[in-house]
Amino acid sequence: MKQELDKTEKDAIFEKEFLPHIDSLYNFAIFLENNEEIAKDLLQETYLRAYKFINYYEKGTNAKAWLIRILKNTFINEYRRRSKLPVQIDFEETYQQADEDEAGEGTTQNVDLRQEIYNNLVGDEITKAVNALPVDYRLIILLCDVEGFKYDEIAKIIDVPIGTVRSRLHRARNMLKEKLKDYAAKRGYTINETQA
Amino acid sequence: MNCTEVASRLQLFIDEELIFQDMESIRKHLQVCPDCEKRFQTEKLFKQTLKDKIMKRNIESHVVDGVKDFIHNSSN
Ligand SMILES: [Zn+2]
Repeated sequence: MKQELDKTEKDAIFEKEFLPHIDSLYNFAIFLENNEEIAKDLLQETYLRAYKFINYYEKGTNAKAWLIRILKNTFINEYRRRSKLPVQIDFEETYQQADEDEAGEGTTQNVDLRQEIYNNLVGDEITKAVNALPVDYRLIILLCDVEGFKYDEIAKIIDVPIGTVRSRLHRARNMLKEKLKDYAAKRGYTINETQA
Repeated sequence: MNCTEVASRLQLFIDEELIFQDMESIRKHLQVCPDCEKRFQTEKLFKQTLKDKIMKRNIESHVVDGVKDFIHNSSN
């Protein structure tokens, strides 16, 4: 739905609804890019696009979700350009098979770690482990576990069905636990419940 | 619900993505099943740990100003 706004209205929305989320957007950008300088460019580009397409933003709706969606799409376009991937290859395709494999009732397979492990992890280890995930998995963990978006909101942000959100999240968490398990093992902790 | 059914819905339960009746049946099951309760507490702790401990940077004011200037210059 497109509306016509004059400059004053645009600036007001930008100031009141978009800028308050700049902290979160910046952190998202850093996690996606793994590089602060490039993250700043991504942030600028995102806000510029948000301003340009502000007529499509429905005032008073979830501005943060809308902005993250733009950030994610800008990132993907840049990522494609930098890695010279043919445009017709869907970014999501790489994980599609994996998502489908786990979309059924077979989602009970869980990596189980002991509570002690989580209590002893430091922020640096968690951040590194999240950074080591493939970008789609990183994104879904940030959206769900860090930002607290609901599945239907995530589905809209990353343009996938809710079933894919569910299965990808499950897979991302398991991958993350595997990585955290490695850190804990290096520090000499007993890992699995069964070993407790 | 039995333990297997609870296990397969635990992620959705923690993310509060189940319908009300299913949320309730799992809550009831957890009250009487120490194994599932423990698994639930561990998964919840995992989610909470991520949220609490992941690195968050505060944006410096000059970056915000940079964004504002960039938009101001680009949109004129
Ligand atoms: Zn049980």
